[in-house]
Amino acid sequence: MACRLLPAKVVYQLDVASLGHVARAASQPSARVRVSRTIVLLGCVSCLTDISSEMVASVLPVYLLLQLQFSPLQFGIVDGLYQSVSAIARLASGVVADRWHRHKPVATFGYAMSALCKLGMLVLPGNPTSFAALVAIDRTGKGVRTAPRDAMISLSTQEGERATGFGVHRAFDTAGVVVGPLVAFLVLRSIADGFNVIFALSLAAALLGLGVLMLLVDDPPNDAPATTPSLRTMLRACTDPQLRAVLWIGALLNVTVMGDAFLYVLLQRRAASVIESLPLFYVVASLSFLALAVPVGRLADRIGRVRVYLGGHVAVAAVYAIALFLPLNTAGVVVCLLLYGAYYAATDGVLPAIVSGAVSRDVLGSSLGTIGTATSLARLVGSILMGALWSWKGPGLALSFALAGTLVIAGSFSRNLLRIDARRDATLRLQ
Amino acid sequence: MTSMDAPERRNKNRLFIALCAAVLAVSGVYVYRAAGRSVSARQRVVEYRVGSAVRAAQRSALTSLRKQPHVAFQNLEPGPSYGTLAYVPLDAPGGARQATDLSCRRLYVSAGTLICLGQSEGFYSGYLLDDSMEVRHIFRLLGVPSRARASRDGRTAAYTVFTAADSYMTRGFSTRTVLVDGGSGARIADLESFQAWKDGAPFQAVDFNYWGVTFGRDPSTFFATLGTGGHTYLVEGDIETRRVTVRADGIECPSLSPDETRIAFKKKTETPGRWQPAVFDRRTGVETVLPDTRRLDDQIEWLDDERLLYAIVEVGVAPVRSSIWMIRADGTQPPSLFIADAASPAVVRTEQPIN
Repeated sequence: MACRLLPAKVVYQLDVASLGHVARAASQPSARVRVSRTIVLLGCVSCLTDISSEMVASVLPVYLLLQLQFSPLQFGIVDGLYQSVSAIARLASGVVADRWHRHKPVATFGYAMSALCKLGMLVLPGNPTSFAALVAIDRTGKGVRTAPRDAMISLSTQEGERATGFGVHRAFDTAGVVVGPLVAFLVLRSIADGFNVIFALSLAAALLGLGVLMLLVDDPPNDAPATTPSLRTMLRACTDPQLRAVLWIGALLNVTVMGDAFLYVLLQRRAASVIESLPLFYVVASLSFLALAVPVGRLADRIGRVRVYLGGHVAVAAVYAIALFLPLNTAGVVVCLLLYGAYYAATDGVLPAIVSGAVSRDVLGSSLGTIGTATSLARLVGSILMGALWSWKGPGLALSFALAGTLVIAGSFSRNLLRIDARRDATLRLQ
Repeated sequence: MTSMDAPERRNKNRLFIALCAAVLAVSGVYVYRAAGRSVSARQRVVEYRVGSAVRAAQRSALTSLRKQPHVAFQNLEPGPSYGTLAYVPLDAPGGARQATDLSCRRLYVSAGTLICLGQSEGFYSGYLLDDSMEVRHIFRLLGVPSRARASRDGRTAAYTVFTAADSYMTRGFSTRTVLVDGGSGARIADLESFQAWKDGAPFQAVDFNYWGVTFGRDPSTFFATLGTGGHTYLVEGDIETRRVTVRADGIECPSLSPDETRIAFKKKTETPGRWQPAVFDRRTGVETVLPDTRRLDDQIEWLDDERLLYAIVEVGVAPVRSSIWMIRADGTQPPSLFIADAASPAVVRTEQPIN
């Protein structure tokens, strides 16, 4: 089930007969883009799941510290689990999905794990050990579902519109990230100590998301030969020179990216705006990402994904340069945040689209899993490095490193990487 | 695209609609009941406005009690006054308490200035009261109440909150500590805007967190905790120059003794998440760990120059249960119960000139 996509605005309609959401957009009549029902439904799944997990994530520190009387150290341990457990699971689930030759069951398992954890938070007495275990399982679930879910998105789109498909999905996803903390905030404001209410609502959203996935989403057809790829095949696919270039640049550019929290604190200090405005920074950047995800995805499909991906890093370099060299006022901060959202729009969904175009379908899951693991581990390394630089010589050094690193890495890999676009251009011309 | 045959699709759609209905119904009922419980369990928070005076069942008894040396605290006796500001005479802490209807999670009183961190109109809010128990100022808090103190002259108050917004951002634990004018309620500064110094050089890091202010005799001087990079530093601050200077490491949630010679604090133990009460002698640099191994998480209050008070909270119980305990500062005796079903003690040691 697919419809025309008009670029300026995306309208989501509920098709009562099939209960499918239908996305539409339009630009020049010549450039019709199809967004399949599967992608929109997967977007709904991610939106509901993000509402669910961000609701809990946003109150977790306060809940653990105050309600369960955790110490900051215990909290740090739980938080560390939260951050890092999922990275490895991405790779493993991608491999499993490829070997089973089916992505939906693996993705479903990942979503179900997280839903089960929300139930656990609601009914288990909150002692530190059980809570830490629940959080770890929740994050493992996130790691498990990401690669097969992205493979499903990839399989549900034509090669020429893949970045748009990812863009639509990421727009839904980001909407959940914005809404979740807001719901939690409102609950805590209106119901004193309403942590259980938050867990209950989070469980409800997770179940609905799981329901959409299990009952409404079709497992997209995989026209790759129905063989079980051996681990060696997958390994060989990952060492394919094209994919290797993507892997390297994806990982390295995540080392030099400054964490959101660092960047926002820095912008806030440079602009001397009130500390209370910090949560707003998150919202503005997310809304920018939300608004740009689809148009930037379309742009990537038109002019080349690698070009847009590199362009995204030019945008983030511009943010660093502005923060480093220009005096900042409120308008400057807003510009930076909009550019930062553009950076996310040009990278978050575009990178898996690049990977999808560069590998054969039978190793899609493991390739997406590999790049997911590489980028998230790189981000972890990057945030530790930035924190160290900041503590050592102040924010200026961290910013300079981020700026120089981004430009040097993007610049030095660009020739190699742009060949992917060139090859794709040639293929599309042939068709 | 694989298409399911029509009946199967229809069945699945029906199932999905049924699931939606079930989830919405169950969660709706749950939220509705939880909201009801939350109101009945903690009784309605009495809304105060600026200018209204705090009410107590026996106003005259309250006034005469507050003229004598006394202890103000958060009453946690089950019943209609659960969670409210209450008083006992200093010479009979175990006796009958006088509860008010002002709900406070944390409170402190000094030289007639009372700071209460509670809620108002559904938001976490701070109250400043004068010595006639009149609300002079209400301000919104940007997080969950954690610590409250007032300076010895009552002109400055300080509070710490845990911020949900910041932690949403960093996924970490974050505190915000603010100094306000005890009279006008105007914000003096957020401690994070102060210039920090360590070993004679400016000191900065992205993960700075301040908490647990305690005031000295000099109205401009205070001590607090600066948490950064896994350390909990004792800092000495100066309000006039807007500076804090690192004085020691490993001293968390300080409390300056009335004679200013010692600092009581909570000391991290080998077990994660456990602190023990301890006393740091500023003259000799000697630390004395006090014999109480229960789970302490409170800013200690000095009863006098020899004895300390702190709350011990029962873990994982809702609504919160807690009692105030007393221990000798020299560590020679085990703790003894001071006020049952209570938290957040503030000691007023001298007679008060109130009408």
